[in-house]
Amino acid sequence: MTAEELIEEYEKSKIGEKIYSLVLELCSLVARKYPKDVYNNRSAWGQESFEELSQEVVLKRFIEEGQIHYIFGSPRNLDQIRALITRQIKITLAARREITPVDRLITRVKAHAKSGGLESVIKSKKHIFRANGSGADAVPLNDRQIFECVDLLRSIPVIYTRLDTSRETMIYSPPNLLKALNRIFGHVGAVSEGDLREILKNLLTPWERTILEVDTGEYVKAVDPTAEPQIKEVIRQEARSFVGRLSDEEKVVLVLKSQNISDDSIAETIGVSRPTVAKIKGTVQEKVKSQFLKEIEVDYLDDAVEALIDEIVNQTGSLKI
Amino acid sequence: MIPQQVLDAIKTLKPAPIIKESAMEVGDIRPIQDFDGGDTRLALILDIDNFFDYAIVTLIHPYVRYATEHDLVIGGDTVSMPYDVVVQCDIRASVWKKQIGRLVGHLPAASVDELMKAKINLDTVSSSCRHGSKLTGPLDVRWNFKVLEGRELKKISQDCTIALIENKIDWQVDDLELMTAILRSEHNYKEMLLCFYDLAQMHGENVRISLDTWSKLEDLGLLDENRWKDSGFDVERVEKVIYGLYFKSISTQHKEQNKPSSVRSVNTPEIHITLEKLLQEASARAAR
Repeated sequence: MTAEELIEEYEKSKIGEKIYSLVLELCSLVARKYPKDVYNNRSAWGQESFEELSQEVVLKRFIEEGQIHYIFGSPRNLDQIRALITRQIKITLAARREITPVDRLITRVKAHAKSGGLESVIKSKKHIFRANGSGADAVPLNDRQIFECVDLLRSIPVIYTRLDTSRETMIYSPPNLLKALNRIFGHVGAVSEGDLREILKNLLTPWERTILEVDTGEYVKAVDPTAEPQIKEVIRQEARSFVGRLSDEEKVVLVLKSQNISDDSIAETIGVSRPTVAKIKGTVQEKVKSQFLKEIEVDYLDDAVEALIDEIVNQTGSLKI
Repeated sequence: MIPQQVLDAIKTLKPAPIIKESAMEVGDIRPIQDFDGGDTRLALILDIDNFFDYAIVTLIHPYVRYATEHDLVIGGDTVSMPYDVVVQCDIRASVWKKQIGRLVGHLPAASVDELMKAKINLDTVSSSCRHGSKLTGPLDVRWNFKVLEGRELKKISQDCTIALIENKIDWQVDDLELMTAILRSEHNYKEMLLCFYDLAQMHGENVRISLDTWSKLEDLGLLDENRWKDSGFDVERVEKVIYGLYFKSISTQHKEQNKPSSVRSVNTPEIHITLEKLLQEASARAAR
């Protein structure tokens, strides 16, 4: 199959047999690398699930979002077409992954409402959440308001886990979930379940590892791929040993600074003064540089920082974040 | 085989608006490509320089969820495109006009002016515009994405950028026009030399004349020092101007012909210049 044949088919019928079979082929190549428990409703990957995924990609991404026009609307070579379709598949898979953490947050919000922490009313068959006694009505939020709410929540620490792992995370500690809701209520009065879902989905975007990386041709690191798994394992071991030498306060500061959370908010979270946070930050950053990153090759610095944060989150389930 | 429900949905697919090709202007959304025929990317044209034949562009992508606070998400309807776009206001560069493809969308020029400013008033662009959410730090997946996007544009724009910074743009003077202007005074050597001297003097740093034309000029005696002297010209002055232009023309062609195959030269499109344009540039240079 050549790029010209695919482009000709797009110009003639938008999506025909050739484009559809390429999507199916790429779905089977991409999806089998994703954990089935998280991305395929716990069923083993097979022809049937690849076909389901292909349909989802074509219906949601190509047709609903009009992305077929982006892929074929400009001159492309075959590698580029494959890379762009691969990216659409990854975005579709990521959307499947988001459902679990967002669902669990919504369940917790409803539980909060039941225990009297906030108000939940049903209007036109929709759940509306608002602060106790506010009486505010929820109007549908536009994209801009959704993103304003997302930005308001950015300074609240999240218990982060990358979304390409099968480990689950609660995202917010109970007090921080309440703080997040109050910020939303403060900004828009009340929020419907659908809009709250949209806000939370966008809030998780920064942790959607792997979606924006493209496999085919584009952006290939100049490293030996066969050596990569071993190198990453060594980095993980180093990270484990290094984290073991840090104090609890240093670990919390490191995780929260990795989320660009201000010293003020960190001070409030761990109950110390702002200058103390600044001091801990200076010490721990110096330790990271001199005791951990010093021996890491330049190509693996990003992986090393990720491994470090993952390891802290792993080891410190009991930390107060 | 495509399932029936997908076939039914394909029938509902909104077609891409038909956009008639027109002269390139600020606000156009067009594909750009590097000289080696690599990946094609969409870009918004922010400024056009018709003299040096390049444009300043900013990179676009369609993944609206991944927009940051530095990007602008614009509804497809605003730019006459079948999908929403993310204009990456922080990723800009210069590319040759020859690297830019056909028109696929357009943002009104007034909105582009706003885009160029540090802080955009979203309502002046369209009510469907918004910024993305803030980057949360180096571990935010979009951080690395931005780095890769920057690299991508750097790859596409490097030839043009290097040529502009290092002043490596070569204008090839229109041979026929040059010879016509000189031969207008064919029977008066002094007039002919004066005409050529004037043209050579206004060459600036970037004008080249083809070797064929130099041969013709030599045949006319315009490179003969004795004849300059006989016609009452200051030989040293004429030599400086005319041979200055001559050696630049020769060295450019020599370098191109003899460069080792391992050396990658900066790709510059052949930009032809008319005498009128050359005159304008000389006046502008003098005014500066």
